[in-house]
Amino acid sequence: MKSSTAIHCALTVTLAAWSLVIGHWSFTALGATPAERESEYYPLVTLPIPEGIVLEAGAIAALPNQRLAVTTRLGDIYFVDGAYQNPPTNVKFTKFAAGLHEVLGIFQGKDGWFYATQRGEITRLRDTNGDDRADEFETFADGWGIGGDYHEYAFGSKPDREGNIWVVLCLTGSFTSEHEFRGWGLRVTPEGKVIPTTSGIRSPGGIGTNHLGDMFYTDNQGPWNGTCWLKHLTPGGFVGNPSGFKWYSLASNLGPAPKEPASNSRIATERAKMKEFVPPAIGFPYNKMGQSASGIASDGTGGKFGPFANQLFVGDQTWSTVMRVYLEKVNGVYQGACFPFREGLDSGTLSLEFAADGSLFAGGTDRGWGARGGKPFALQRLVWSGKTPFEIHEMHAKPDGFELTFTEPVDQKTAGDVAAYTFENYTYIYQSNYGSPEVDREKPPIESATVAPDGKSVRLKVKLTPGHLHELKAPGVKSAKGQPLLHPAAYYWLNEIPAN
Amino acid sequence: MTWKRFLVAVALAALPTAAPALAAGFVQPAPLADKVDEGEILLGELNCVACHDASPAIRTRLNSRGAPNLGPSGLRVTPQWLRRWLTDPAAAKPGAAMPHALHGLAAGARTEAAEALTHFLVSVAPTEAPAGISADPARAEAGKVIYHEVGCVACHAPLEPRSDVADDAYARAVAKSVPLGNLAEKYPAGELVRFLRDPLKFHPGGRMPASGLSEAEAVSVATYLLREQLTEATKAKAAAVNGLQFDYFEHRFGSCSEFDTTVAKESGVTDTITTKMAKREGEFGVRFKGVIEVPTDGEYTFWLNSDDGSQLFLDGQRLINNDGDHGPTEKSAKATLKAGPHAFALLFYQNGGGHELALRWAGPDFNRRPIPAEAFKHFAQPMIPLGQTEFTVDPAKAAQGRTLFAAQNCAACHQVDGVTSKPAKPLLALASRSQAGCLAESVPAAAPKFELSDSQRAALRKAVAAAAKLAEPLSASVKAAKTMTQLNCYACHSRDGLGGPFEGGRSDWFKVHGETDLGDEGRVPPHLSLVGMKLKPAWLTKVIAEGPKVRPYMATRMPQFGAAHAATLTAAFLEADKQPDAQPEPTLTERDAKFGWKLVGRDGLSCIACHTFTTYGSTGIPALALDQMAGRVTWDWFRRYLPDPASLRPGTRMPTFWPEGKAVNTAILGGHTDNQLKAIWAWLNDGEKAEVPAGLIRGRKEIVADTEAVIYRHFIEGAGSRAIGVGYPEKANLAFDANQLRLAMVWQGSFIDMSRHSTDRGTGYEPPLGDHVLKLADGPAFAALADANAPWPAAPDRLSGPNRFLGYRLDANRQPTFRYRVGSTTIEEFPQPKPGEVDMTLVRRFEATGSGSLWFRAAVGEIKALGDGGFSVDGKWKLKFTGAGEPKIVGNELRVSVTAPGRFTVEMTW
Repeated sequence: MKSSTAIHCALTVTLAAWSLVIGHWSFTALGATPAERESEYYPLVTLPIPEGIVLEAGAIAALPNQRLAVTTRLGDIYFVDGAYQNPPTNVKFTKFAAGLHEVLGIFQGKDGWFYATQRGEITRLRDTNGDDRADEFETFADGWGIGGDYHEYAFGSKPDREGNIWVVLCLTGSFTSEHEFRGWGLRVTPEGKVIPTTSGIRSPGGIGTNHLGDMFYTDNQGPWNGTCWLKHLTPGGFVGNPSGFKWYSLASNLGPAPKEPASNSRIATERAKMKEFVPPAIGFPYNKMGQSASGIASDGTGGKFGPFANQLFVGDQTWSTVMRVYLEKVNGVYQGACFPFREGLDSGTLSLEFAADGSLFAGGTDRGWGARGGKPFALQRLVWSGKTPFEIHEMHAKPDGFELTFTEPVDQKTAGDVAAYTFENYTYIYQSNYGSPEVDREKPPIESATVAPDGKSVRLKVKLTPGHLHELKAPGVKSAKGQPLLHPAAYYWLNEIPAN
Repeated sequence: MTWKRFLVAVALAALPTAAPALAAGFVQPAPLADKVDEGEILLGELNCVACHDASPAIRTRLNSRGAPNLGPSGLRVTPQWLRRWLTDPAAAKPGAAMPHALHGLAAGARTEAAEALTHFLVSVAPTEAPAGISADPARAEAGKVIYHEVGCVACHAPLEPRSDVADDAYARAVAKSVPLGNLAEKYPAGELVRFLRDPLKFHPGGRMPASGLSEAEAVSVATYLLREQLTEATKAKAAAVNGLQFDYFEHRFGSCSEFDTTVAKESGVTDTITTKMAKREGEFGVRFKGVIEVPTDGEYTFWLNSDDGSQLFLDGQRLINNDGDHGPTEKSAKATLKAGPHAFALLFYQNGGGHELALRWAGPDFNRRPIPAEAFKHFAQPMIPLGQTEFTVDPAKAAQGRTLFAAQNCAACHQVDGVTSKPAKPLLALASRSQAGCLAESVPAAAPKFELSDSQRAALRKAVAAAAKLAEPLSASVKAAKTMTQLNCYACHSRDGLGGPFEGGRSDWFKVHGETDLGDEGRVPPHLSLVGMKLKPAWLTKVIAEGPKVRPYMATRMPQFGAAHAATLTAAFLEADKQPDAQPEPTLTERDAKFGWKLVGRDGLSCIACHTFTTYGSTGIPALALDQMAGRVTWDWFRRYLPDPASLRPGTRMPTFWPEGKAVNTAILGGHTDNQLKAIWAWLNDGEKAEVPAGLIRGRKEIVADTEAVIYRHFIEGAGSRAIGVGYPEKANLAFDANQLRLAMVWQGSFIDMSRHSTDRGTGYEPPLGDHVLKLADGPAFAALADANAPWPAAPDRLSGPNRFLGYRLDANRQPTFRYRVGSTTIEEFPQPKPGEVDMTLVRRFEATGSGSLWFRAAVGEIKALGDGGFSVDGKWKLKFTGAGEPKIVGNELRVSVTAPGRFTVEMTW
């Protein structure tokens, strides 16, 4: 990509006269795009998909021996061999299973069975005669209802610490829960027992654990969701959308339904009134970070994927991007920041999976929901080039502001200058209506920016507001080597202010 | 709910008849733009220049509200309402704009004067009686929905409290509303229908716009608004009223002749030929009865299209026979008819599959078209206005009224033939008299009395004192804001951060139809900031004048304000929103359009994932049609919007494909942003003639079982939400219902078309693709029964209890063996097709393991034992058992007992 740009530039210079004649066209075409800048650190490898295979990748599982299992929205499960090659010249697809109902979850259990989450059930399947085609399909758990509505998706997780599979169930349409447990998160024990676990779900786009094994899912902007969120799933928790409250009647383990939250309020206000309310952990501001948050993958590569070990990577389907998330727990509640990470994927990012070699696979689809990438489906791989991008590494809430850490030492002068940053915070209306504008905007000044002697962190003194998304930009901050940040923006959703 | 209604009643009662803040001659529901002067608004809305003459420049600037037409071009309102209204307008309708003309008279004289004016006004009103409207509570219910959805409540009070709207929000919306007054006393229903259909015809000031109501919708809304008349109707004499009577049946019809012997489930009135009253998809019928009004003598052709059977009768004779079960079939016939009413009846029934019903006609002077609602009548008791008594115009009183009408200068606002108005002092002459006359604290008898609040009076005085300044034209931006205030555009639209449903507190009444995945963009009308830059002038004018609908999902309709306001507002918007860096329309080539076609389609940016195109739905949400785009918006807006939609429409769902101005698609036109934008614009400019983008034409995607069986788990019509379809190479197919644990159906030929589920979002149930579809009865295949004759149970609860689907195994030919548990028994079912010469046989091998005794319900229908030990069902298919217990016929069911462990085989031939 880089070299071709250089050639293009040279041509432009040679043909300067031409450029004058045809006007300014070459500039918009040739300026480095964000994706081009990012590709220096995280190049994308696009896997060729054979004619006839519609690989709308709903879920990916990295298997031993550099094999992948990729499920599709059309109900197929493929084994993909040779996916780790670069360039991928000899990728082989083997159809393991077909005719399943929109598979949005896959992993291989320690027992050798594959556990696939379809709309109607978690199925465990295996091949008993060694021909790489599944021939035994067992209904492992189907303790929820579905009708004919497209919206009633089921996303299944990989196993948590205890070996449970978590399933998040989309509401019926945007506003109602017409069938059992729509709008709920369920746990399925290793024995196949279904335990109603978390209420308040609207429209998930992905599910996965962080490095500690805590379960998270993404939920999309809509009723009761002012923007897209990453939310923490906990037993007995309520995560924001009360449309499925009627199913507490089937969840004897949880007791009666809590009192419904008031609409046209704020998350912080309603949370204070409701002990079950688990507030969102991360806010992805609409039209700033993306428009439909999707798959989740935790970087457990121990540094093989670069400097972001133990952080989460989250897809955005509309924007065809991968975002980065830093989580911390304050007063027992998750919160943290999201950062732009990589754009320019070929289709709408849906599924993410880290591979054993430390690369990140991303599956995409744009069927039914348009995506920037423009391709109807894709399977791609993000590989760390070994170069460290200059980025905000982590963002920690402090009693009197934030602490930023960086992937490279910062330049003391620019990073210590409050004028190198812009800061504002805002929240969303918590309401039964669809979405929300940004409201309650505050622009408190950054009172001071103090750089640590090692240049690896900066303390910003600024007023924090619980229940708000804190938007920080650091366009003026340079690294010690004089580089600007690859992504100067960070968005910190704050539930709690730490005591120290 | 009752306490809610009580609160509302309190809120309404709290509006005293002369409460200054509300009974102020003009209620402004939306906020007032700060650059607009309240006094100036009032001068226009109270129609001051009707009496106080002013220069054309001032008149233009004031853009006065005007008054409703009286006389032959007006409406026939009732005498009882006229009397009450004239006696004290503010008491009859708090918030009324009309001043009290008779306030200076003593009570007795005032009553007499009002009576005389009433006789006069009735004597000059239109003489033709409007069509009656039958008292139909179902139409009132329909009207309630329309009234609260299409935009009426943007200005008028919502009339039903809602559980999802806070009481204070509701009370606020009710309080800040343009008053309706006592409609049930004022209007004969047909007259209100006339008004709702075309308000500008009767009140040209345009403050009440048309909402694009069809005749049927207007009848429903009128019935709702006049719902107090429903009970009065029982006292009325039957008369010809609008609409047709219908009877709705739930029955499996064999032919139309069965209507005579079948009992209707429901009856009502419908304004058009429709199947909307049907409560289910299949096995129903509708009979329509009434009168059809034929406009002129001559030969008429009728076309009757139906799926399934239908018949049309005119004057008691059958004109068209389209009877029997069939797909959409059209039949036609001609009839020579005299102008006037003819007895009309139409029978229609639907059994299975899709249904359709359409009746069209052509006459001596019109081409084939649907029959309009206006043509249908029936005899019923019509609604009559409240307080209706016999009223005859007394010529003497009418003459006296005419004199009074002139004397009180009513004609200044309401032009009536033969009555002249007398001018009052010109507006500019009032500058030094702004504390006198209409604006005095105590209004003299000779001046009309407006119910003004102190602040309104102060604002008016100030405006009058400075009236000379009104000759200066307003700046374009103020003119736009002022006109938007006068027409209450702010109730629905914000502009420059002012107004809109959220600010007005009415956002809860804005709804989306169907597709809910559009967010607020789907329900809240667009903001109008920079609309003069966004929309092409001709389109902008058309939108304001005629309210064309481009957002089919939005329940609220853009109203029709007429040509005059459209011209004023368009000019103001264009001028106010002019951009210094505006770009003219680019020159476009066919080559550009070719690339544009690539960009909008599946292999480009997939604009079609959200946007519709002519008759093609998008593959996702139904966002604005691509073919209408270039006719609506300007290039200058388009080229700014696409690279950064959220900057011009905060919160929009429209993503950009040029983040930071750089194209994400570098394959087309070298990723050159400007060239890509131009290319799309070129393609859009071809409008509906543009080449259909790739990805919109969806073909059939048949799943074929070629050499081995294929499985398709999805929503399959007839087999439930957890269906497992199996297609066999033998061209036999089945669908297993994993919700109910039963074989749901079998069919022959092609297996299934997956295009419904593999395109777009994949919603809904797909029926079998092949033929000879045999559906088995609903309910579980196996059940434990107390005794052999016990009624067959419904499918047990899936989530509790032991019964569950266990999965399937595939053999070497990929043929499944289904496994499911019923109580303590596990059933394995292995179906295998065995093609015959003509018929198909499905051999179902069952094995029961575990323990327990169950019954297997093999068939439901008319069961006959055949000589060979087999059975026939409904004379359509056959059953044979091997290794099973003695089959038992219980009612219309064929049952076999099964004890685990055990095996048996059933052969089904169809």
